Amino acid sequence: MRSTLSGILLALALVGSITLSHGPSTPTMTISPVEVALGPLLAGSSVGANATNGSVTFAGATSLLTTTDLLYLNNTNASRTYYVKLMEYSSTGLALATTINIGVNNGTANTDQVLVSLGAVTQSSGPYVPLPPGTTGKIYASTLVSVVYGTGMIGFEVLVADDASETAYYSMRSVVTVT
Amino acid sequence: MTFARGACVAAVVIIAAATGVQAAISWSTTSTIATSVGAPPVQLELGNGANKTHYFSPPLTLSANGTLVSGTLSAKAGADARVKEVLKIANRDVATQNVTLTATQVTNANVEAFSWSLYNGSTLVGILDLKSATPSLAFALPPSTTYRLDLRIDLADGAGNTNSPASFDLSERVG
Repeated sequence: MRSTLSGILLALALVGSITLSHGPSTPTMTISPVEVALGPLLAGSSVGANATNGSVTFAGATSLLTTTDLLYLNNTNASRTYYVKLMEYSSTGLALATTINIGVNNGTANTDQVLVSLGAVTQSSGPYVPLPPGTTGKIYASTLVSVVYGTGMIGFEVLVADDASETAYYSMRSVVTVT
Repeated sequence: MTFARGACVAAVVIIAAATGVQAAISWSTTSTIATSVGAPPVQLELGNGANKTHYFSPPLTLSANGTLVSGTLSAKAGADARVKEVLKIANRDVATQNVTLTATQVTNANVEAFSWSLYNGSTLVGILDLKSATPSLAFALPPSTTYRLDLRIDLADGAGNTNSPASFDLSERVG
């Protein structure tokens, strides 16, 4: 008898699709402190447990535009330059503020970042500023407010990036209250 | 599905045929199928972000067939960290592949956000949110195309090695 095996085998066809599964990959995770850290500078200012969230309250100037240093911004890495900028995310009570400019001093120069003019936020973020290794920088505010100004608050992120194109960065929140 | 190199699969088929008379005739035959190992059609690659040793230490590494990643993420206590192009996912096949990324939910309260964002160039394809109940991201990956994965991890103030996750996971399914 002629074998019909090959024909029979052809009829035995697999039905359905194939799924390939890989993993899981299980990378580990460790917790480390930030290398650019906030620190209290102005009397009454404070930072969070990991030196990442700052808070400061101070009285705005009423006669002349006055600059006040608020918080330290320390690059604790001995060899890497980080790039820092501020980005406003919230504000209240600024209607009677003539000028409130919050900026970064990188040990060399001041660069205004968040600008408030005549009661409104006119610039919510500024350019990245290099903070050289081992540098103690500062976050400052230049203020001029009305004598009847009450209390205003500006919340901003402190962005610390590897480079100006933000290939990697972390952000820390801070709040400045101007009375 | 994988097969061991050089293994053979033997199939034995026994066929019984009725000939129309009382006696039945049966015969058997053995077929041999050769097997080999092929590369998976969809593979992981390390991106430029994986080289940032202040975020990954020890650095991330990939298995030889691009299916498993290992290493250590150095998350920043009290900060919201983002690293672009940590991984890439490449379709080496000539046909579109349906890919699903999954992970185990991260429930630790000190992890405020933890996600992988998938991009096709500058276009966001989707987000694998590890804080959701069943983290999953399904997408179609065109032939000869590579997408990138950006990482975000936001840790609460007070996070430390004694109160935060020691690892996380990532799986891929194709098909």
